[in-house]
Amino acid sequence: MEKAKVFNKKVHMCRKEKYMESYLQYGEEKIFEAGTVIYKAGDPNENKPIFFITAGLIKIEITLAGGAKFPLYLQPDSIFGLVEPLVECNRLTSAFAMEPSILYSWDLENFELASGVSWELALTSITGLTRLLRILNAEFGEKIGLIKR
Amino acid sequence: MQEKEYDDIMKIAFQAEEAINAHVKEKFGKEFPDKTILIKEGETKQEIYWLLSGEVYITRKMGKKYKVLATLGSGELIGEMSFFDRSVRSATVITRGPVKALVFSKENFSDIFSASPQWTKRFLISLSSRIRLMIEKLVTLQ
Repeated sequence: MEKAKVFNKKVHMCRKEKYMESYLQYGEEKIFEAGTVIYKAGDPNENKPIFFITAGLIKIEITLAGGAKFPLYLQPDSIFGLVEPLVECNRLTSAFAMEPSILYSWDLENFELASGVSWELALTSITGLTRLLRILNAEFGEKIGLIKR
Repeated sequence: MQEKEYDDIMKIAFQAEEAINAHVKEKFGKEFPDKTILIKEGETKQEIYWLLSGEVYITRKMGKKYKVLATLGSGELIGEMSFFDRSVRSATVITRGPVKALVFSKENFSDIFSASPQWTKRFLISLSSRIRLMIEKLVTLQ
C-alpha cells in the first residue's frame, strides 16, 4: 500500500514537472535573496514581468489609505504581477522575497504563448486572480462595514 | 450534450462575439426585467452569464438592504469566479434595468474555456480590471 502511494506520488511529480516544462520554457529563471524588493507600487508600466514562484515565499503588499499595509503571502505554484501588464497600468502593489526564492518571469507576449500551450498555467492564473479578488472584496466589505471578522 | 448544442458551444469558444447570432441567442439567450436577482449570495448554482446588454449591480446584503459593490455592463462575464474556485456565490447580482444575457451551464462553460485560449485572456483581463478597481478603492477609502 505504502509503495503504491510512493509510486503514485512519483508519477504525479513527473507529470507535474512535464507540464511545467511546457510553459516555463518561455520564461526566464530569476533568483531573489530574502528581503529583496521585486517591484514597488507605482513602478512604471514598461516591460513589466509576470512571475511564477517555483520556490520560496513572496509577500505582496497593498498600502491602504492612511498608510496601513495589507499583506498577502504567496507560496510556490502561484503567479503574481499579472494584473498590471494586462490592464496596462503602473504597479498597484509591492512585492518582496521573504525567503530565498526562485521565480520564472515572462513578458506579456511570452506569458500569452505559455498559457496558450498550457491549460494548467491558464487555470492557475485565473484561479490565482479569482482568489485575490475574493480577498480584496472581503477586505473592502470589512472596511465599509459589510463583513465583521 | 446534443451534437448541435456542442457545435454552438464550440462556435462561441472560437469565435466569441462573432458567434452570437439569432440561433445562439435563441438557444442560450435570456431576457431579465429590472431588479431580477441573477445570482444569490451563498448559492452553489454555477450558471455563468455573459451580458449582451444592460447593467447589473454586484451587491452584498447588509441587514435588509443590499449594498452595491460594483456595477458591470455589456460584455462582462458574471459568475465565473465560483466556477473557477468552486466556491459558493459571494455576492448577489441584481439587474439594473432590463438585461439581455447568454446563460451557460457549468458544463457548457467548461467546454468553452478548455477549447480556446482566447477565453483565458478574456477572463484574465476581466478579473484584472476588477482587481485594479478594488485596489484603487481600498487605497483611497478613508
